[in-house]
Amino acid sequence: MKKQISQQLWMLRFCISTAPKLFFFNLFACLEQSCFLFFEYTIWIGYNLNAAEEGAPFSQVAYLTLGVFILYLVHQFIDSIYFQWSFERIKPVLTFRLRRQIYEKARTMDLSCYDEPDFYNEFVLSTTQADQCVERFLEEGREFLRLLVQLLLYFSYLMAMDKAGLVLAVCCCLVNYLLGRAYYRLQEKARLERLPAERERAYQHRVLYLHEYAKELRLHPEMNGKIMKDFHECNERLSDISIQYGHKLWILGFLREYVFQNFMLYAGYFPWLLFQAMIRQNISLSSMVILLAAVRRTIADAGKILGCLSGLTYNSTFIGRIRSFLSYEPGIRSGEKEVDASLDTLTLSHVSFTYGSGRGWHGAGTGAVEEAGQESVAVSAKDPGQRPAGAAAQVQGRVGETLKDICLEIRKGEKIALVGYNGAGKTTLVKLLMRLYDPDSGVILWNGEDIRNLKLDQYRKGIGAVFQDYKIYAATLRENVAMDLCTGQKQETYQVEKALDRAGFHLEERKLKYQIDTPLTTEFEKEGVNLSGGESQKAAIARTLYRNQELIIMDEPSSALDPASEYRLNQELKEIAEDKTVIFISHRLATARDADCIYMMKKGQIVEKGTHEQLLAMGGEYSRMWEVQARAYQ
Amino acid sequence: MSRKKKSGGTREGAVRNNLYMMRLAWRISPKRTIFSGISFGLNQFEYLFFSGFFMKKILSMIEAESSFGEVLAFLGITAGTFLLVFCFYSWYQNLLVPVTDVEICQGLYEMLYEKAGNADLSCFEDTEFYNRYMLAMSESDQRLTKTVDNLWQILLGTAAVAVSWVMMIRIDRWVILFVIAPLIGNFVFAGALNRLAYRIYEESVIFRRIADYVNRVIHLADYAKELRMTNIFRVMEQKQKDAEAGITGTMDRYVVKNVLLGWGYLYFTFVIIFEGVIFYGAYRTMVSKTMPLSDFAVLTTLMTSVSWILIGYTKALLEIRKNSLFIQNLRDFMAYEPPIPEDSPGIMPKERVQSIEFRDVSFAYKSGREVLKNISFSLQEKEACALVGYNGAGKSTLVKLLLRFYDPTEGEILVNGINIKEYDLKAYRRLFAAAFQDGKIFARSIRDNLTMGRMTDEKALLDALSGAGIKTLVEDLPGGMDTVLTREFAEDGVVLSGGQNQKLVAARAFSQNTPVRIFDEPSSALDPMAEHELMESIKRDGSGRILLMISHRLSSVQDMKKILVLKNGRLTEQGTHEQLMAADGEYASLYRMQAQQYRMEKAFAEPRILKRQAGETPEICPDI
Repeated sequence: MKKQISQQLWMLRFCISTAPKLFFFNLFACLEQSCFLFFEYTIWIGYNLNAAEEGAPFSQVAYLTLGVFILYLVHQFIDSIYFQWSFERIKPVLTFRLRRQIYEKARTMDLSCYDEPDFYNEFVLSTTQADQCVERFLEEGREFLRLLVQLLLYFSYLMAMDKAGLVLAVCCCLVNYLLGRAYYRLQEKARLERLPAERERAYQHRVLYLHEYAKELRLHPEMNGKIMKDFHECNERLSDISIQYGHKLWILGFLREYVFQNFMLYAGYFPWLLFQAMIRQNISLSSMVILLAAVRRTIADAGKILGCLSGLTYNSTFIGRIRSFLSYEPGIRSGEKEVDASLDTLTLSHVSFTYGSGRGWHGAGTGAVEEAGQESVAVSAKDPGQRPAGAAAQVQGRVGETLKDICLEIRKGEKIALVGYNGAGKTTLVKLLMRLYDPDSGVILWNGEDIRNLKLDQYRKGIGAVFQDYKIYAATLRENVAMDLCTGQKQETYQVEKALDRAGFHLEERKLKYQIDTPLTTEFEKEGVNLSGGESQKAAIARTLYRNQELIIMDEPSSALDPASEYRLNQELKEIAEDKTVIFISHRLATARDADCIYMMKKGQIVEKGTHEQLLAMGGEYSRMWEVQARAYQ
Repeated sequence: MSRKKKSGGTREGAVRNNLYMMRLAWRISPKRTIFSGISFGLNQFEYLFFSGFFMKKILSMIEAESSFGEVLAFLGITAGTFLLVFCFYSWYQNLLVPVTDVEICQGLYEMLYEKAGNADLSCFEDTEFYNRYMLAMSESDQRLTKTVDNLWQILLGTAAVAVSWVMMIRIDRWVILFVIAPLIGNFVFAGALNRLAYRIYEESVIFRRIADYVNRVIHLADYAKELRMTNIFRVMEQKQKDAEAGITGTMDRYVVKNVLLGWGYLYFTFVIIFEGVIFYGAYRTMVSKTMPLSDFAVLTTLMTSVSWILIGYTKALLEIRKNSLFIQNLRDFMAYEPPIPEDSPGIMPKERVQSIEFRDVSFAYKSGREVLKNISFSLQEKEACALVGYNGAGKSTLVKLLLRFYDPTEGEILVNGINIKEYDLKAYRRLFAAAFQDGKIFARSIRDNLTMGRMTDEKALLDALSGAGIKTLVEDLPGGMDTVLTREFAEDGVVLSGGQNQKLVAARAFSQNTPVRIFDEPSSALDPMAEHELMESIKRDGSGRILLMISHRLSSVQDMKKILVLKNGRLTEQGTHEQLMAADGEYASLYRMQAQQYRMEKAFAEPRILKRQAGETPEICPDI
C-alpha cells in the first residue's frame, strides 16, 4: 500500500515538474467540474423543487435561473478548454518527456542487459507502455479525484441535511468497500491464474498467423494440427478458470451492486424517508426526492471510487517498473581520462569473461514477469517485429560463452584476424574491446592505459565498427553517414560526400533528388529512398570512413553475401583499411590469410597464433580448418 | 480488394458490414449475442424506469393520498424486480462474458487460422494483403464483441430515445421542444468536433509514426550496438523532439475552433435542456399551476436521461463507421479464394520421384515484379543438384514453386511427368523434406521439432541428429530429446544459438524419409568445420534421393551431378562443375573468385575483368 502510494506520488511529481501550468489547470478544471455537478443535481434542483412546493416568488426563481445560465456559460467554457485541449495536450508533453528519460537511460544500459531475457522483457514492456502508463495515471487519477471531491461534498451535505442518510451511506460504503476489495482481489487472482494459458495461447496465435511460420506449417500439416490442438486446450483451460471463479464473482458482484446499493437504498432508506414525509410529515416531498438522489449518488460514487483504486493499483506496477528502470545504474561507467588521439598499442592482458556473472539486474518486483506474458500479446498484435519474447530468445544465444585468459597485442597499423569455431568467443572478444562489456579479470590497455579509466564516449568514438547487421536509419543520408546531429555546413557536406565516394557509393550515378539530404527508407517519408542491400552496405562503410577512426573492427561483414559481392566487399574493405589498425572476424579463412597475425580461437581461448604460413606450418587446428575449406578448390 | 475497400466507407456498406459481424457472432456464440442484447435492454429499462417512472409513481401515489402501506408495496415490488435484474447483470458480467470471450476467441480464430492456413504463400508476401490481414487478425475477437454490443446499443438506444420522448410528451406536450437543443449539440456541434478531431489525427499521424519508429529503434536489440558506438542516438532524440512539437503544434493550431465548438456542444447538450426544462417546469408548477409536483420532479431527472441517451446513441452511430472499416478487412480476408487451396484434391503421387521437370517456368509477384523468367531444366532420380547465383537471383523462389507454395505465372512444373497442379497438394508436399535458411524452431520438445507431429522411430531421429552434428549436444541436455526449446513459456526451456538452430533445422529434414530433399543455405551460420561436416552429411544422406541445394559455397557443390546458375531470374548456365568450368562463364568466374583466395600463392594479381564484372552485378536485395 505504502509502495503504491509512493509510486503515484512519484508520477504526480513527474507531472508537476514537467508541465506545471497544464497540470494545475487540469486539476482546477476537474475540481470545478465536481463542484458544478454537485451544485446542479443537488442544490439547484433542490432549490427549484422546494420553491415549487413551498411557493416562493417566481421572480426570484427567474433571476436565479438567468444567473445560472450565465454562470454555466463560464463553466462550460472552462470545461471545453479542458476537454478539447488541455487534457489531451498534456499527454504528449508527459509521454515524450518520460520516454526521453527512458531513452537516455537505455542508451547507457549495459549491453549485457540484453542477454537477460527477463530484464529485456521488463525493459521493453515497461517502457513501450510508458505512454499508456501516463494516460492511465491521468485518467484514473482524474476520475479518482472527481469522485473523491463529490463524495466529500455529499458527505457534508448529508451531514447538514439528514444524519440518518449519512449513517446509511457510510455503512453501505464500508460494506461495499470490503466486498469490493474481496471482489477485485478475486478478479486479480483469476487474472493471474489465466496468465500462463494466455501466454501460451498468444504464442500459438503468433505461430498460426504470422508469415514467418507459414512455410513450415504448410510443409508439416501435422504440426499445424498439433498447435491447433494446443490452442483448443488453452481455451478449455481458460474457460475452466473463468467458470471456477465466475460463480464466486457472480455472488460477490450481486451483493455489492444490488444488496448494498439498490436494496439498501430503495428498501431501506426510501421507506424511512417516506415514513418521515408521509406519517411524521417532518420533511417535504422535494427534500425527500433530493435526499434520496443524494444518498444514491454517494453510494454509487463510493462504488466507482473503488474501481478507480483498483485501476491505480494496477498502474502502480507499471510506474514501479519504469522507476526502477530509470534508477538503474550501468555497470560500465565512464572513466575520467582523456583518450590519446593516436593508437600505439592495444593490449589484452589475461582477460577472462563470462556472460551474466554478477551483472544481474533486479527487477521491480513480483508478478512483473508474469505480466510480461499477457502484455506481450498486445505488443505482438500490433507489430510482430517488436515481440519481446522472440527478441530475447535471440539474444539469449550468446549466454554460456566465456573467455579464458586471453592475451593479445595489436600495434598501430597491424591487421589481425580472429578465426575459429562457432561459440568460441570471437564476437565476445571484440565486444570487450569496444567496452560493451567489462572483463571479469584481466585488463584491456589502450596505449598502456586501462580502458576503464578512459572517457567512455570518447573511447568508443575512436573505434569504427562494421557489423553484418548494420542498420539504415529513417533519417537523411547525411545523418546516416555522420551518425550524429548534422550542422549542414559545407565542410561537413564535403566530408560526407567524400566518405560515400570512397565507400563506392557514387552520388552522381545514383541521382538522388536531394543529394545527401535525401531521406532514407519509406518509413515515413513519401520521397524516402530505399537503398538496396549493396548500397546500404556501402553507406555503412562510409560511416566508418567519415569518422576516420584509427581502429576498425569488422565482425563477419560479408557472411550473408553471394560470392561476387563478398569478394567485392572484401576488396573494398582491404583498400579502405590500408593505413588503419584492423581487427576482423571471419569464417572464411581466405579473407584472414593476409592478416599480420591470425588468432585461432576455440572454447574461449586462443589456441594458436601467427601468420598464415606459420600456422599452416604448425599443422594445428588452423591448418586443419584451412585444409577443409581450401581442399575443395585445389 | 481495393474496390471493396471503398464500400466499407459508405453508409450502406457500413450497415452491411456490421450486420455481417452480427451474423458471425450469432454463429460462433448465440448465447453471448442474445444475452448481450438482453443486458443492454435491461440497462435501458432500468435507466428509464428510475428516471421517468419510479419517482413520478411514488409522488403521484402520495398526491393521490394512497396509504403508506400501498407505497411500501410498490417499493417492495420494485426491489423484487430489480433483484432479478441485478442477479442477471452480475451473472452476465462475471460468468457469461469471460466464458463466452473464450468461446469467441476459439471460434473466430479457428475460422481465421483455417483460412490463413489455406491461403497460398504469395498472399503473405504481398505487402498490401499482409498489412490488411494483420489488421484483420489483431484483436478481432474483441472487435467482434464490441460490434455486437454497439449494434444492440443502437437498436435498443433507438427504442430508449423513443420511449423517453413519449414519456416527456405525456408530461407536457411542449417540453419535447427542449430536445432540439441536445439534438443540435449532438449532431451539429459533436459532428463538427469529430470531423475536426479526425483532421487533427490525420495531420499528426506522421509525427506519431516517427515517435513509434524512434521508440522501436531504442528498444530493439539489433540497434543496441550502434546506439552505443555512435551518436545516432542524438539524431533519434531530435526526431522525437520534432515529433512532439509536431503533435502539440497541431493541437494548438486548432485550439480556438475546437474550444468554441466544444463550448457550443456542452451548452446545447446540457445547459439549455437542463436549465431550460427546470425553468419551464418551475413556471408551469408555480405560475400557471398546471403541473403537479410529481411531474416536475420527474422532469428534472428525465431530461438528464434524454441527453445521456442521445449522447450514447450518437457515439454508437459513429462507432458503426469505425468498426466497418475493420470489418471490411476481415470480410475481404474471409472472402478471399486462394488460387492454391491447401486442401486441393487431386491424384495421389507415387512414392518414388523419378523426375522433376521445369518447363519454361516464369514467375512474377502480383505487384508485377518478375522474379523468374523462362526456367527450364530437369532432374532425374538420385540426382544431386545445386542452385547457385547472386543474392536476389530467384533461387529461393524456385524452391517455393517446386513446393507449390505458389504456382508459376507461365510454364509448368512436372513431377514424374505429371503437372504438379494435378496432385493432391498435401500428399504432393509429403514427397519433400526441406530445410530453409530461416527455418523456425517451435516452442516444443526437440522430438516434436524433428518429427513435426508425424510418427517417426527413435533410431531415425538419432541418426538425423548425428547427421546434423548435434547428437552429443542433445544427449547432454538434462531432458534429452524431450527438452523443451525456447523460453516462450517454459521457464527452464533451452535456447539454442543460431548455429545450433540451423543444425536442428537440417536434422528435421534428415529425419524425414522422403524421395526429395531440399536445403536452402543450410550452413550460413556455421563455422568452417561444422559446415564441412554438415555438407558431407547432406551428400552422404542424399544418395538415393533427389537433392536440391542452394549454396554460396561453391566448393561444397562442385561434385554435384548438376549445377544450375541463376542470374537476374534467368537460368544462365547448367551442367556439371567440369562442363561449367570449361564453358568459362558466370559460374567459372564465381568459382575462380572464391578459389583463388585459397590458392597457396599469397599475392595474387587482381584480375581486372572481375572487378568490372563485379561492378555490373545486380544490386543485392534480400532473397525473397
